[in-house]
Amino acid sequence: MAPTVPTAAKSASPSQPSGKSEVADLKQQLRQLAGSRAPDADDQRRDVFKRVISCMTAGIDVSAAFGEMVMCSATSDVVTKKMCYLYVGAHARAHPDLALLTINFLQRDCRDQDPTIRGLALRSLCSLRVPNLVEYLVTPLTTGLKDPSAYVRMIAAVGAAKLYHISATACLDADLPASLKALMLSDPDAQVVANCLHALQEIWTLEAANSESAAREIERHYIASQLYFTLLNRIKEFSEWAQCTVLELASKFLPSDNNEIFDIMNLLEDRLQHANGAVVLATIKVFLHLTMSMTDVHQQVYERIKAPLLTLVGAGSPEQSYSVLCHLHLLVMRAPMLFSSDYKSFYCQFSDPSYVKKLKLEMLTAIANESNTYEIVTELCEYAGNVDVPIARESIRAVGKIALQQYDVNAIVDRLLQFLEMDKDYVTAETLVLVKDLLRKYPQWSHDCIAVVGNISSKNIQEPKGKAALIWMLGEYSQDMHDAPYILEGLVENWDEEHSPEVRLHLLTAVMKCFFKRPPETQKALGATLAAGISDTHQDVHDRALFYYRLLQYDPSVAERVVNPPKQAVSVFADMQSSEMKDRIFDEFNSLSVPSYLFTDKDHRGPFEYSEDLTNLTVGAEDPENVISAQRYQENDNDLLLSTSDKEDNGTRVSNGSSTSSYNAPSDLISPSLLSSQPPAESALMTTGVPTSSSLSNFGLDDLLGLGVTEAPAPRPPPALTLNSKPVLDPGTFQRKWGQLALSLSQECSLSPQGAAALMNPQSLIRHMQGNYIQCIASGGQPPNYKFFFYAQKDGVTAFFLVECIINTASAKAQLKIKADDGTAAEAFSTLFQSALSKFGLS
Amino acid sequence: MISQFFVLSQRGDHIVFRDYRGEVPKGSAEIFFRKVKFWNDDEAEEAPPVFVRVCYFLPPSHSLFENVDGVNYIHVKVAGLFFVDFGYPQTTSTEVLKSYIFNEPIMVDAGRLPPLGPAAMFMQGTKRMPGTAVTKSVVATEPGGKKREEIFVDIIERISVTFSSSGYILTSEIDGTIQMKSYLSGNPEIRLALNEDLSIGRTGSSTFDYRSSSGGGTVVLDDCNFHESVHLDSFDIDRTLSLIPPDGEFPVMNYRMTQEFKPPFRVTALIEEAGPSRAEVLLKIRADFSANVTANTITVQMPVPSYTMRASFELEAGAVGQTTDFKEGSRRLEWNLKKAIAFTVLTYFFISQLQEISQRKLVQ
Repeated sequence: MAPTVPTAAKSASPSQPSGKSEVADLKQQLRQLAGSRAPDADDQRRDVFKRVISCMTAGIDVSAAFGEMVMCSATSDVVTKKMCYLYVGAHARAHPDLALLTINFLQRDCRDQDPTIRGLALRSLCSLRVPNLVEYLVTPLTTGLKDPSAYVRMIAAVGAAKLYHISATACLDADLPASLKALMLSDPDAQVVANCLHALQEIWTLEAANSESAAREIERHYIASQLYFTLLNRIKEFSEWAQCTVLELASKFLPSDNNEIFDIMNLLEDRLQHANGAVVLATIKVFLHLTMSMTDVHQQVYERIKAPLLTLVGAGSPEQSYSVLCHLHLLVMRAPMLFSSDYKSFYCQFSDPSYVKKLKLEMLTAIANESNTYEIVTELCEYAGNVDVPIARESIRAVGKIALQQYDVNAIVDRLLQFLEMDKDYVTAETLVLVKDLLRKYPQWSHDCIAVVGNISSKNIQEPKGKAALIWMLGEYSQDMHDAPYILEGLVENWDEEHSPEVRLHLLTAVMKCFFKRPPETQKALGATLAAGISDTHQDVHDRALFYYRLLQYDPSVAERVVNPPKQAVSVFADMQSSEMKDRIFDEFNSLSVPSYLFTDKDHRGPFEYSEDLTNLTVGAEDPENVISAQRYQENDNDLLLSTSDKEDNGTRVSNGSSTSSYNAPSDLISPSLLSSQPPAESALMTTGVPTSSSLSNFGLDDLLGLGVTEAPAPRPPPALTLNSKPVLDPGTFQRKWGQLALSLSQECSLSPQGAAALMNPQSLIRHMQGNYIQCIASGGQPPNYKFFFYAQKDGVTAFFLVECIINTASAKAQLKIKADDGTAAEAFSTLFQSALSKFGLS
Repeated sequence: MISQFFVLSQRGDHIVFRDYRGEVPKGSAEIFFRKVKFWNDDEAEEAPPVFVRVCYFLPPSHSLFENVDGVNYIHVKVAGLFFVDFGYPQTTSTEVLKSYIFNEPIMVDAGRLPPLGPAAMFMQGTKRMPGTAVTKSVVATEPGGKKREEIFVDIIERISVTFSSSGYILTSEIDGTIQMKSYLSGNPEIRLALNEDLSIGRTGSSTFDYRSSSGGGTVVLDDCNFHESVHLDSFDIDRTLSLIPPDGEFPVMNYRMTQEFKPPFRVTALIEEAGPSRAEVLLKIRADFSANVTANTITVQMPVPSYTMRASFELEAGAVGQTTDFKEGSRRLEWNLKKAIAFTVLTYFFISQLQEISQRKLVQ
C-alpha cells in the first residue's frame, strides 16, 4: 500500500503545497483503497482523506479526485464520512454532473440509524447547491422535520431555507414554511426553534419582496403577538446567538398597549445582566424601540442601561469594548445630558488604543455642561502633552469645541492660551485655529487673546492651517496689535517661501484689512503684496490679488466695505453630522452600522467601498448617490462639475440630450417654473436615443452658471401608472412599512416660486396633493422648512408608495425620499409626484 | 448571519476558510487582510476592529481556538462544519463541539498561548505569572491515579487609578471578574457565596461622590453581570450564585465599582532637567497594603519622548530581583520587580540621554 507515514505527516503542513503531482498521487491511492477490504483500510482512507482536505485548504484544486472520493465514501467510519461531506459540499457546485453520483449515498445516509449521520447527510444534501437535484431534496427534508432527533430537525429547518434559495417554488409547493412555523411554536428543543425562526425570517423576507399578496400574508405572521410571546417566554433556553435573533425580532414588535410594553420589559429585565455583550445590546435595542413613544420611560431606560453598558466596556476583549463604546457613543450623542454625571467613565486610559481614545474624546466633548466642564477641560489639558500626537491634537480640538459650546468660556480661554506656551509646533497650530474660531463666535474675548497671540512668532509655525489662523487674526485685529503691520510685512517678504496657497490667500486679505485700519504703516507692504500676488502662479491667489487691485483702483471706500465690513459674531458653526443621519443609525442600533458610521462620516469612507456588495454597509442616504456620481465620473470628465455642483442629481432623472440643448437655451429665458411645469411627455419625445453623457455635462454647466434648470424632464414616456383615488393606510402601518422598506428613490426637485409662497399655509399643499390622489399622513415643521409624509396606492393592487418630502420654502427646493412596495414602479411614481408638486401654486 | 469565516496567518495565508452561503465575491479574505495590514500608514494608527458583513470575529480567546497554532487546523475546519449552518450560528459551546471532534488534538504548550478569556485584558503584553494561590487547587485530591477532580476560582481585578501631580486621586475604578475553570466530572451544581453585605447599584445620580467608606463597611458594586449558566434565584436573599459550570475557563461574574478605596500602590515621579540634553527622573513607589500580603511580579512602565536616545538606570543600593530596561521600539522604560512587601518605599533613578537635535527644543 502506498501511503507511508512520513509523506502523510509532511502534507499535513498547509503552507507548502506540492501541486499537481500530489493530486494525481492522491487519486491513485484513493482508487486502490476504494474496493479494499483490508483490516487497516479504514485508517488508510482516513489518512488519505486528511491529505485531500489539507490540499483543499491550501488552495490546491483537488476537484479532479471527485469521482474517486465518492467511490471511497462507502464507509462506516464517521470521521472519514465527515471529511467526505466537507469535500463534496465544496466541489459539487462546480461539477453538477458528478454531484449526481453523491445523491445515492447521501440519501441512503439520510435513513441511517445514527442521528448524527442522518443529520450530516441531510446537511450535505442541502448544501450541494445544484438546481437540478432539487427533486431529491424535498422528501428527506419533510421527513427530517419530523425526525425524533432534535439534531436532525435542526438541520432540516435550515435545509428548508437552503432549498428556498435553490428553488423557491419547490420549497413553497412542499408547504415547508407552514411546517416550520408549526415546529417553531411547538418544538421542545430551543435550537430547533431558533433555526426555524432563522429559516422563516429568510423565506418571508424574500417572499415579501417578491409579491404583495405574500407580503400581506406575512404581515399577519409578524403582527401576531402570540409569536413574540411564545419566543420571549422561552428566551432563557436559547443559546446566546439565538437569543440575539429573538431579541432582534422583538424590537420590531408593535405593542397594542402600554401593558404589553411593560410585560416585555419585565420579562427581559434580567437579560441586561448577561455577560454576553451581544445579548445586552439586543435587549437595549428592544427597550429603546418599545419606549420610543413614551418620553419619560424612554429616559428611564437610558438611566437603566447606562450601568450595564459601562460594565461591558470594562470587561472583555478590546474589540468588544470598542463596539460597545461605539453604541455608547451613539447614545451619548443623542442624550448628552443623561450622561453628564458619568464623565469620568470616559476619561482615556493610557493603555487604550487610539481609536478608543478618539471615541472617548468625542463623548467628553458632547457631555460637557456647566457642572462638569471644569473637570473635563482639566483632564483634556493633560492629554495635550500626550506622546501620541494625533490624540494630543484631538484633545486640543476637544477643548476648543467645549469652549465654543459653553457660554462661560473665560476659564477655558485661559487654558487654551496656556497651550500656546507649551511651545510645540503642532499644539500651537491647533490652538491658533481654535482661538480664531473662538474669536469669530465671541468677539468680546479679543482683548485677552490678542495679547497672547501677538507674542507668537510666525516663524515657529509650520502648519498652513495654524499660520493662516494667525494671519487672519493679525489682519482682523491689527488695530489692537501694535506691530501687526510689521509682522505682516515680514511675512510678505518671504512670499516665495510660502508654499501653501491658503496661507497666501489669507495674507492678501490680512494686508488689505490692515491697510484700511492703519494706512500709513501698511501702504508699502500692500504694494509689495499685490505685486507678489498678481505674479503668483496659483490661479486663486492671482485672481484675488488682481481683484483687490482693481477694487482699490475703482474706489478705495468700496474696497473697504468689501474687505472690512462690520462683522457679526457667528452663532452656530455648521454641524458635521446631520441629526437625520443619527436617527437613521439609531434605527439600526446593535448592527454593524454603528461602528462603521463612525468612519463613514470622515475621510475613511473611501476604503469601505471596495466592493459593490459592501456599499450597502455604509448607511445613509447619500451612499447610492455617491456610487452613482463615482460611476459618472468615469463616463465623462465634465461631470466633475456635476459632482460638486449638482449633488442632488441622481441617475434616474436625466437625459434631455444634445438636441435639447438647443431647445434648452431659449427656455432659460423663460422662468424655470414654466419649464418645470411642462408635461414631461413633450420633452421626452424629443430626447429619445440621445447619449446620456453629453446631456449630463450640459446639465452640470447649466447648474453651475446658475441658470436654474433643475427640473429635468422624465427619461421616458409617461408610464401607465394610475393611482387609487381613495387609498387607505393607517399611521401604524405606515410607520412600520417605512421602517421595513428600503429606500427606492431619493431626489431633490424644485418648487415653483408661487408654490413656495403658497406653502405659507401647509394645508393647501396637502389639499393640492389630495387632488392628485396622493394623501398626506403627517406633516410638520417651521418656516422655512416643512416636512410631509405622503402615501399613495397603485390602482388595482395593494402596492403602496410612501414619500418623505422635505420642503425648504426659502430655496424653493424639495427633497424626496420614496419607498415603494413595488420598487419597479417607484420611478414612475416619482415622476408623477414631482409633476404634481411642480404644479402646486400655479393654479 | 455569517457569510464567511476565515482565520488568516500573519502573512495573510488562509489557515481556515469557510464560505457558508456562497454569496460573497471572491477574494474577500484578501481584501480584508490588506485593509487591516495597511491601515492608515502615515499616521501609524491601529485599525479599529471592524465588524463587516463578510467577515466576523469570534474573539480569538474562544475555546475553539485554544489549540490553533497552525497545527490543529483540521479540528477547526471540521468544527467549522458544525458551529455554523448556512450562516446561522448553531452552537459554540465547547462541550457540544467536543462531541463532534474525534481526532486527538495535538496539545500546545500552555505557556506559549496567549492568555484567554476576559482575564486576558489584565495581562496585556506581559507574561502570566500566577501567584501561589492560583496554582494551588481549591479542592485537593490525592495526586496520581485517575484524573484529578478540581476547580479553580480566581478573582482578577483591574484597578485603574489616576493621581494628580500633587498626589491626589483623580479617578479610581475597579473592573473585576470571577473566573472559574472546572475539571469536575459529571457537571455537579456549584454554589458560590459572596459577601452578604454586597450591594449593587449606587443610589443617587452622581456616581462619583466619594463617601467615607474606606476601612471596611459594605462593598458597593456599580454594576455586575453574570455568565449564562448562573442562576440568580437566591442572589437577592443571601448573595449566593448557583451554577452548573461548563467545561473550560469562563467568567462567572464581571463587576465594576467606583467606590473609594485605598490604592495598593502610590507612585510619585520627580523630573528634572539636568543640562541641555539630559533629564533626570526619580520614581518612587510606595506599597500600601497590609503586612501579610506580598505583591509579585510588578512592572512599572513609563513612556518617554520619541527623541530619547539612551537611558541609564540607578537602582537603590541592595535592591534584589529588580531589572530595568529601555524599550526603544515602544519608547518605554520598564522596571520589573519580583516582589514587594508592604510598607516599603522603592526608588528608582535613571538618567536619560536625549538626542542632540532635541536640545534646542528643550532649551527654548
